Amino acid sequence: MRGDRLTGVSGRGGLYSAEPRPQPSEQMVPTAVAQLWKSQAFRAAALFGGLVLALWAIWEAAVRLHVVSQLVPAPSEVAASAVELLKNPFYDLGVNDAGIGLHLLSSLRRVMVGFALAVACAVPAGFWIGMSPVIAKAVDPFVQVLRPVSPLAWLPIGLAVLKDADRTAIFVIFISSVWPVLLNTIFGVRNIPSIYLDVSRTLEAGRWTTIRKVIWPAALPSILTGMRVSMGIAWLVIIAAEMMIGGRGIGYFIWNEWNNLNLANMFVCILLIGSVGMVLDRLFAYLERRVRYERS
Amino acid sequence: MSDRKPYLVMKQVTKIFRSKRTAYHALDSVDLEVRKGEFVSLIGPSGCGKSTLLNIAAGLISPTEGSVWLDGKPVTGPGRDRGMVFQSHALFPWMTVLENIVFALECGKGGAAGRSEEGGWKEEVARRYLERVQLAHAADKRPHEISGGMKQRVGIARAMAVQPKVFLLDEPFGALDALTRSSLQEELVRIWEQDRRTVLMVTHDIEEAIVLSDTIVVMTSGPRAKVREVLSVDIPRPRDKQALLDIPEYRHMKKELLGMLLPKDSAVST
Repeated sequence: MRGDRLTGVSGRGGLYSAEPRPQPSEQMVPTAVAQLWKSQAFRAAALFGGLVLALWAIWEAAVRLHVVSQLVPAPSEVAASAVELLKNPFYDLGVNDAGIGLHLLSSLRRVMVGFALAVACAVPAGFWIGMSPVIAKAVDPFVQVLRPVSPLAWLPIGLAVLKDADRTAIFVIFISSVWPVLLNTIFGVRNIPSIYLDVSRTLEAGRWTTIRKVIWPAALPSILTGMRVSMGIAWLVIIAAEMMIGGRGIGYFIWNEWNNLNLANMFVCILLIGSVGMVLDRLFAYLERRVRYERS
Repeated sequence: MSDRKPYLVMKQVTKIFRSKRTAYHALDSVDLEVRKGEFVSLIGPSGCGKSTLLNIAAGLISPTEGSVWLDGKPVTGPGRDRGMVFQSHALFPWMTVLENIVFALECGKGGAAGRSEEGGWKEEVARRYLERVQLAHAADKRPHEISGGMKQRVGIARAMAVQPKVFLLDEPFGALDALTRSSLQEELVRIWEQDRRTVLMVTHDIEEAIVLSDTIVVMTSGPRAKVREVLSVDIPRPRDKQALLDIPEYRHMKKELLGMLLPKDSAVST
C-alpha cells in the first residue's frame, strides 16, 4: 500500500532508484481524503451537502429569474426568516402574537396528551381483546368500520360535544393514535409463541403473573411499534386539526402566515415540523430497540 | 432400586386431533407405567405421537379418552408436580438465566412475584440450581448469549428448581450436536444419580435411551400409535459410553431396537 512508502524505509535506495522519493507532506493529504472517501457515511454526507447546495442554487435562480410565482421567496429569504423567527421563539404578546416556539410547544402538548390517553386506553384494551378470541370477534366490526375514518372527520363532532377547541384537538389526536397502538397490541399479545404460555402453565403461574412477566414483555416490542406509528400519524394530523380550530399551535401558525402571504415563514414552519417529527420518530425507534429481545 | 408400585400411570390414553374437516387419530389406548425413581425413555418412529403422550402427561394437552395418574391423584392440567424440559429449551429471552429460574420459583403458591425480602431468598435458591448444572458463571447472561447446550442446562435447572415429583423431558438433547449431547447426557445422569427422581423422557436416539434408562418403552408408528414393547435395561450403572461398546448386552439391545424402529426392508448393522 501507499502507506508503506510514507515510512521512507523502502526509499533507502535513494540516488540509484528510478522513482523519485515521495514527499510525505504532499502525499499525506490526498491519502487521508482517499481513506475517508472509502467510508460510505462520508460519501453520503458529501452527496447530501452537494444536493443541498444544488437545490439551493436551482431555487435561488428560479426566484431571481422570475420562473416561479412572485410569492415564492428565495432560499436566502427563507433563511433570513428562520433566523428572525428562531431568534426569539418564546415571546408572548397576547392571543394573536406569539413566538413560533410557543406555537410548537402548544402543538406538542396536544399531541402528547392525546397520544398518552390513546396509549392508556389502547394497551389494556389490546390485552383484553388479544387474550380472548370471543372478545376479539365481537369487537372486530367496530375496529374495522372506525379505523378507516379520517380522524379529522371527528373534529366537528368533537367541537359540538366538547365545546372547546383545545380539547377537540386532543380528542382528534386521541382518535388518530388509538388504532395503531390497539392493533399492534392485539397482534403482539396474540402472537406470543405458545411455548412461552406452556412454560407459564406448567409452572402454574397465576394469570396476573403471566400477564406481567410473560405476555407484557413478549408483546412490548410490538406495542412500541404501534406507538411509533401512532406518533407519526398524530404529528401529521395535529397540523390539519389546528388549521381548523385556530388559536395557538404550529398548524394555525402556518394558516395564519397564509393569510399574511408570508411564504418564507411557512417554509420555515415546514422544516421545523419535519425536524420535530424526525426527532419524535427517532425517539420511538430507540425505545423500540431497547425493548426488543433476541429470539433464540 | 425403585418401588414396585406404579407412580406415574397413563391408562388407555387415546388422542384424536379434530379440525373442521379432518380428524387425526394420534394415540390409541396407550398404557404406560413409571415407577418411583425410575428413568423411562419413550422411543418410537418420528410422528408416532410420543411427544403428544408426554404433553398429555404434562397436562398441556387433554386426552380424548383415558386418564393420567400421578402418585395416586388424577392429572387434570399442568402443574408443578411435573417438571417439564422442552426440546426448544423455552427460556424467556427477556430474562437473564437467573431470572428465568427465579421466575419458576416465584410462580409457586404464596410466591407472590416481586416481594423483595423473599426475592433475595429465591435468588439464592436459583443460584444453587445453576451451580448444580455448572452454570453459576452464566447467571446474568441472556439466553441468546449462551450456547444451545447451556440453554438446555438452564432448562433442566429450571425444572429442578420447582422440585417436581416427576421430570418430563421432551427430546431434551434433540437440537444439540453429538458432542454436546453426549456431555449433557452424562451430566443428566450425574444429576439424576444424586436423588433419583422419576423421569419420563421422549427421545429418538437409541443410544441415548439405552445409556440413560432403566426402562425403554417402544411405540409403534402413527397414526393410532400404541405401546409396542417395554424393554428393561439391565446394564449396571454407571454406564460409560465407551465401555458400553464392549458389552454384548448393549449391542444386542441396540440391534433389537434398530430392528423395531427402522423400516422392515432396510439393512440393519451395528
